[in-house]
This record gives sequence, C-alpha cells and structure tokens, in this order.
Amino acid sequence: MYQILVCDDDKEIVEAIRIYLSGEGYQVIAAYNGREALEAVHKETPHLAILDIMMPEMDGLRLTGKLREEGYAFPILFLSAKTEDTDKILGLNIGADDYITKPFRPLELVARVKSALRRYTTFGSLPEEETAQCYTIGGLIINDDTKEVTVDGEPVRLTPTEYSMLLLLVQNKGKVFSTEQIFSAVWNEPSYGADNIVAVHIRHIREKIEINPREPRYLKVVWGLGYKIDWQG
Amino acid sequence: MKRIIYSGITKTVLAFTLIFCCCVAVHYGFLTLRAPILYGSTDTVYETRQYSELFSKYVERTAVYVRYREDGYELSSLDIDSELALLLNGEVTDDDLEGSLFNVYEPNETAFYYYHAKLNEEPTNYQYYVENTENGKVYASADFERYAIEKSGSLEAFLSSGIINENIYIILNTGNNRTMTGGGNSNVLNRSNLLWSMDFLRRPLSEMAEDLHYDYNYHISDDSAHTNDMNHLESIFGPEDTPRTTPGSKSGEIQIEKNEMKVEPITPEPPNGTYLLYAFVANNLVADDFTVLSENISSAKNDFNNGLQITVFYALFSIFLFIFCNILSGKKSTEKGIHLHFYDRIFVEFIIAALLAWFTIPFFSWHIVSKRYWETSVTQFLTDYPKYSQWVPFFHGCLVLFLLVSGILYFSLIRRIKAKNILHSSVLGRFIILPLGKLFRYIGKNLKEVYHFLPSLGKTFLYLGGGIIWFGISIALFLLDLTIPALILLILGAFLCAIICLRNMLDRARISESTAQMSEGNLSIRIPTQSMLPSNKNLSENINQICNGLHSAVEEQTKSERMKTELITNVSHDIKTPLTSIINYIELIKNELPQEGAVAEYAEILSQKSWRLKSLIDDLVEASKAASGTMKLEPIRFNAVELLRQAVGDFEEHLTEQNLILCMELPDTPVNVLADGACTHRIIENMLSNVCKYALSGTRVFVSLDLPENTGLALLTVKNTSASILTKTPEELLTRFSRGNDDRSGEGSGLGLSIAESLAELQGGNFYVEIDGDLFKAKLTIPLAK
Repeated sequence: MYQILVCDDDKEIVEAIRIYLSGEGYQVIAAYNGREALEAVHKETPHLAILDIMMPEMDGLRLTGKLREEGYAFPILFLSAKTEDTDKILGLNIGADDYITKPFRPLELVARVKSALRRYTTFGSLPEEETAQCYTIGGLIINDDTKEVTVDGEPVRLTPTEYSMLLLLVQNKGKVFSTEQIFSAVWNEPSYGADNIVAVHIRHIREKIEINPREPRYLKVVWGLGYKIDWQG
Repeated sequence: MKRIIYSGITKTVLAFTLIFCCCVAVHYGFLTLRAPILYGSTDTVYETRQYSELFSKYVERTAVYVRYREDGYELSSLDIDSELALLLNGEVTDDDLEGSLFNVYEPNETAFYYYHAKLNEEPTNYQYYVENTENGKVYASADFERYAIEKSGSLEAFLSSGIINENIYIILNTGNNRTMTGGGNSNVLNRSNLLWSMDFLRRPLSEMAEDLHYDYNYHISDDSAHTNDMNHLESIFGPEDTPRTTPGSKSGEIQIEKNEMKVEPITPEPPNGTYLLYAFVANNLVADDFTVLSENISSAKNDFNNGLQITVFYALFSIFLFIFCNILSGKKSTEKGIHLHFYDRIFVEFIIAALLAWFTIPFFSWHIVSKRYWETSVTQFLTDYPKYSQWVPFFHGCLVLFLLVSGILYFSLIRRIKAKNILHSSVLGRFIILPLGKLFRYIGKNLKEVYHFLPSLGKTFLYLGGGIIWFGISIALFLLDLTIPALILLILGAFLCAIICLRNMLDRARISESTAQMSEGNLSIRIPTQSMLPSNKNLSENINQICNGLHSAVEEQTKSERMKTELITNVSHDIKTPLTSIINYIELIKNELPQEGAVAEYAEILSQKSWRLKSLIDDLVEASKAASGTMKLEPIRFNAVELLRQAVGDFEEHLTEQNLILCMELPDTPVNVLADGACTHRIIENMLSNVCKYALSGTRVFVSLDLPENTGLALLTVKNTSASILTKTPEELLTRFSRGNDDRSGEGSGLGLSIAESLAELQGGNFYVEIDGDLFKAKLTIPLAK
C-alpha cells in the first residue's frame, strides 16, 4: 500500500485525484497548500507526491526544493496549469520527476504515477539482471539477448523493424539520427523514396512505449534533424 | 473644320500659294519699278536722261564733224576703210570705235570718216544744220531741208521759229555762247555740257590739239559721259584734272535759256567765224538708236502702268497669306499646343545665321552673275531688261527656292516663339539667360532663407564680425609698423579659430555617431552634450528629447504587448484550473454511469467539449504570444526535408482516417534552412491539421518543397481540395477566429492559420494562402541557411 501525497489549493481537484488513485489501491494524503504538504511529509511517509506549483503559503517549486534539501528521495510529480516549456524545465531541474499539465487525463495521471512508483521502488534491483546486452534508459529496458522490451516493468510488444530502430537509438543514447540514417541502418539500403516510413514507425514505437505519445519521455524528436532516445529526468 | 485648316495639305497649299503670290508680286514689282528707277517720273520720252544724253552725244559728234570739214577734210568715199564698213554694218559699237580707233583731238582721217558715216546715214532721225555765218558755208543732214520745208514752208522759217516745235532740239551760237534747248532733260542739256561742242566748232583742230587741257576741263565736268570715254581720256592725259580758266574766253556774258517754249527768235549777229548749230530729232523717221531707246522707255512705262495694280494686289494678298501662315504655323488638330519639328530644336542662332546667309545669297549671286557673265551694272541691266527675257524662268526658280528656304527657317522661329521654346532652343538662352535666371533665383532663395533665420544666425554673424574686426586690428597694427603685437594678435586669432573649428568638428562627430546608433534602433543611447558649443548643444538636446519620446513610446508599446500576453496567459491559467475539475468530474460521472444510454452520451459530449475548450485556450495563448513576439525562437540550421518527413509521418494516420491521399514532391538533396525547428513544425502541423479538417474526403493532398531562385527562401506548398465552397478571401482566412466554414461547431479554433502566419513572420519567412476555385494552397517560405 503506497501512500501518495496530493497537494493542490483546489480541493475538488485533490478529491478527484484521490478518487482515481484510491481506485488503483493507493492511499492518498491530501494537502491544500505547501505548508500543509511539508507538515504531512514530516508526519507521514509518502512514497510519491503530486504537487501543484501555484499554491498559497509555499509554492510547489519551493516545497520541492525544501524536500530534496531535507533528503527526501521519493518521486515528485508536478501538476500545473503552466504549460510553458520553461516552466517544465524549471520544475524538472528543481528535482521533480515528471510534469503534468492541467487539465490532465485521469488515466494518464495514474499511468505516470505508476511509472514513477515502479521506477522508484524497483530502482537498484535491476542492475543485477543486466548483462552486456541489456540497455536501461529510465524505466525503459531493452534486453537484446531475449529481444524483450519493458517500460516500467511492463513488457512492450514491438515488431522486428520497430525493435531494431529502437535498439539503434538506445545503443547510441542521446545521439540524433536522421530518418535517412535510421532507414539505411535498419533496412540496410540507401533511402530513396523513404519519405515518411521512418516517421510512421517512430510514431508507432512511441505509442507503445510512451504514456503520452504527444509528450514523449524517451523517444524524442529533434525537428528537422532527426530522432534520439533520451531520458528527461 | 479645324482638322481641315490644320491639316498638312492645307498648309502646303497655303505655303505654295504664298510663294506664288510673292513671286508674282516681286516679278511685277520689278517691272513696275524699272521705269521710275531708270527714267524718273518724266512725262515724255525726250525728257529722260538717257534720251537727252544720246541727243547731246550726237550734237557733239556734229560739232566735231563740222570742225573737220572746216579744217579742210573732204569726203572721199573710196577711202573708207574696212573697219568703218564694219561699223556701219553694226558689228562694232560706236563706243568701241570712239574709244580705241582714234583720238578726236588728233586730227586723223579715220575719225573724220567715222563721223561722216555716223551723221550722214540715210535716213536718220537726228537732223542737224550748221552754218558758218562768216562764209555762209552750211553743213546739214541730207533730209534737213526737205523736212524743214515740209514743216514750216521754208528753211528760214523753220530755223527761226519752226524748230522749237520739235520734241527735242538745240540751237548753239558760238558767236555769243548762247544756247537754246527744248524738250530735253535740263540736267543733261545745259550750258557746260554744250560748251565743249561750241569750242570744237569755234577753234581749228590744230589749236585744240595743242591745248588739250582746255577741252578736257569741260569734258570731264559732264558726269553723264560714257565710262569708256572717261577711261580713254584718263589713259591718254593722265589723272590731272585741275580746272583751267579759258584763256581769252569770251564767255563773259553767257546766257542760258532752257526749256523755253516761247522764245524770242535769235537774232544772230555773229562775228566772223561764228557758227550756228541747229539740231533736233525727228520722230520715228527710221529705226535707229533714238527709236530703240524710245521704245524701251515706253515699254517700261507701259509695264509700270499695267503692273502697278497687279503688284499692289499680290503684295497685299501675300501679306494677308503671310499673316495667316503665321497664325497657322505649328498648329495641329491632333495636338494641343504647338507642334515642333525636329529642326525646331536646332539652336536659334544657327537658324538666324542660316537665314542671314541665305538673304545675302541673292546679292552675291547678282554680283557674281552680273559681273562675270553680263558685265553690266544694275542700271544697265534694268535698261536692257528685255534683252534678258530668256533668263526670267531662271530668276523665278531662284526666287521660289529663296522664298521656300527662308520660309522654312522663318516659320521655325515663329513656332518656337509660339511654343515659348525660343530661349530653350537658343545658345544664348540655354547657356546664358536661363542659367543666369536660375542663379538669380537661387541667390534670391538663399537670401530669403538667411533673412528668415537671421535671429538664430545672429550669433554666427557676431562671431564673423568679431573675427573681421580682430583681423582688421591686426592689419591696422601692421600698417602702423607694430609688427610684433600684430603677429601675436594674428596667431592668437588663428588659434581661436582652430579651437572653435576643432570643437565644432568634434561635436558633429559625436552627434553623427549617436544618431547613427539611434537610427539602428538603439533608443537608449544619448548624445553626450557636456562641453559642446552652444548651438550644437541645443541641437543635441533636441535630438535627445526626440529620442526620449521615441524610447518611452516604444517602451509603452512593448509593455502593453507584454501585458496583453501576460493577461491572456494568466486568464488561461485561471480558466484551466476549473476546467481541470470539470474534466475530472466528467470522467468520474462517466465511470459511475452505465456505458449505454442518453446520459452517457451527454457525458461524452461534455467530455469532448471540455477538451476542445482546453485546446482553444492553448491556441489563444499561442496566437497571442506569436503575434506579440514574446515567443523566444532559437533558429538553428536544419534540413527542411527531414522536418517535413517527420511532420507528415505524424499526420499519416489522420490523413488516412479522412481518406486523403498524400502526394509528396520533395527534393532528393537536403534543404538546409535557418529557423526554429519546433516553431516550423508547429506551422507545418497547423497546415496539415487544416488539411485534415477541411479537405474533401477521397482527394489528393500535395505537399511540395521548392527552391525558387534568387529569393534565399525555401517554399513549402500544401495543396488540397476544399470540402466546402471557399467563399472567403485569403486575407479573411488568415484573420483570427476565421474558419473555412462559418459554423462554429467544427473542431478548428480558427487560429491555426493565423498562428502559422505570425510564427512564419517571426522566423523571417512568410505564410500565405491562395485560393483557386476549390483548390486551397497554403504556402510557407523559410529562410535558407547560408
């Protein structure tokens, strides 16, 4: 039974989140401003926190900073109406693990919570399994021996083409591959008339490994240059 | 009417009519004027100078002839030599003979024969009768007596009274030096002209030859003497012309009675050795010199009488036509104002020079022609005019040519005057008068300006005046031989000048540097005004003031833009918070409800619309940011083809859902552009989502990337067939909240294209829409990377 701290100055939102998370079997600690949330963390032992950024008393950013200062390592998810990239980057840099914008889809929220919890709780046990042919990026694990791909422990079914594309990107983590490079590497022939085959496959891979394909966490697009695998955290 | 009058044909006809009239006027004018010029306004032929001269010449001949006879020369018809025969046949003129064959003063037979032949031609109009009262010898023309008897009944009666009824006559009395003439020209038939004849009658030839000058005096006093005679005399006697008084002259009481119609009969009481000479011209007895002359004269008179009216008429008509031509000149029915021909642009001076040169041509040509070919003077030409009748067409031709050319030149000047172009098309005007006018106007304008700015220029003048006084004092000191103070003063002045100039230059440099920065958009810069010259300081402070105003205006503008965007962003936050609750609770409701049923449907609609509200808000924020320029772009160099593939790949499924067939025409080589990748993707995304929303299902969508030459831009075109009729203009489609179809139930926010346009402009490209029937084209240009 994981305890999840939910903090938002809008009580209805906290209540709604509580309903969803309770449905998934999590225990929810509710707080309505930063100070309450801090007190709750001191009192209880939450395994994850969902924080609004704009809150009275103490805002989410300062609260996160304080929590990380005090040595709490549990995942923190921001939940904010601020949708600017700068806000997201600031939030993640300050120590948050994920950034969810309002309004959110309840299922996405639950998925992200699960993902974060799984990474947090299984962290440290995975390297034992890792062989030379095993690649880990965040919650994404590719075992090239068994050709298995898991995201946050959940197995993902990829076609052979998708698999070899993902493998290429994972093997070169952070490196940007253009569609032509990917094409010639995967199909072993120069790309003419390749057009958008690569882009379509990338899209399919993303739908399988990402919680929200429109806001990918692993497989990222660099517009005009190509694609790369990276972990945002 | 105007068209007819102004037409070229009318003008040509008019011009040639004018020339014709002028020719006629000149022709008849010439004929008309011939008589008065040559013969004066005399009533009869005999009174003309020419006639009287001829007559007096014959009288002289008579005198010479009689003198020869008196001196004992006798006629022997066998001795007439061949040259005289020639003379009498009319092949050698009188003048030739008298000039070259003999000298009257040296008694010789040739002369005698000549005179004899001349005076005793039969019949003749010239009649003479000379009587030596001493010995009663009479020399008379053959017909004289018969004529006298015919006229007056007897010789005596004719001599004493009848002779004065003749048209022209002369009576000389050498005894008392009295003469009497009638009917002739009094300027010719006067005493001095007749004295020569009387002398010749009176004195023997030997005496005459000894004392040549005696006669010469009389002879040259006659200005009507023939040129050839004059030349001859000069060549023989030299140029001396001192008049001599007649030695032992008996001409003390000379009486001249001329033109007396009624005279007392001369009662000759002649001393011994006196002669009486009677001479007259009988009319038209025979065709000889007199008749010819008389006919010439009367024909000239006829010409005068007949030609005067014609001349006047044609002259007046010519003047009328000329005035008319002046009015018509340069007018054209097709043109307003004055039409100028190409030669109307030649400088006026050349035209005038040509005109003057052309005017001199008749005089020169007359001079050359008359001297070279006819060897005749104008008077002679006029006299003998009938002789030159075969030349008349030639003269007319010359006249027409003359009139034509001078007319062309003249009317060119007239047209310029009418077109007020005369100054422009003349050397004097263009290079002297007009530039001078401009110069004066320029000076006037500047003086006016100086006057206008006099108050603010006061200080400058003060400095100037001070400088001049300073300099003046230095000069004065020099003149007073105070060299050293003068030098000190001058050097000081030069230093002052140099300092002021340098300061001024520095100030200018500061101003120009600062203003250059300002004009580049750096409005926070200010011109440092400390230690500037007062006038420059004033100028700089004004510029700074302007810059302040501009700066605050720009600040205000950007501030308000930022505030607007901030407002929209904040509002969007405030809307999103309740929206989050709405969405979440709708989800909860949906979870509580059974999957089927009307309420479930309602909940589903609520869910959809709330999400749509979310995307509307996002779009609104983005549009506001893009339009206000607060969005920060990070332009990088990337491959537009790659981006296009990525973007289209994301849309593949949407397009397939809408049953749209995608046709891509991309270059094989990378197209490197310089732009913000995410931003460009957003534009393309908007374009493609626009296609998904509005394209007709089952049609093709064309995406192409071109590189138009020399633009430095990549051109992306997305073409699709619109599902509904496109009623809006491209401009309307690009305005915010505008959609292809006006019902607002569709998915679009109406912001997509507007955002695309703003973003495209932000990264230095362009976004526009073209509509061709149902064909909708969205075009995006992206700056190429260098």
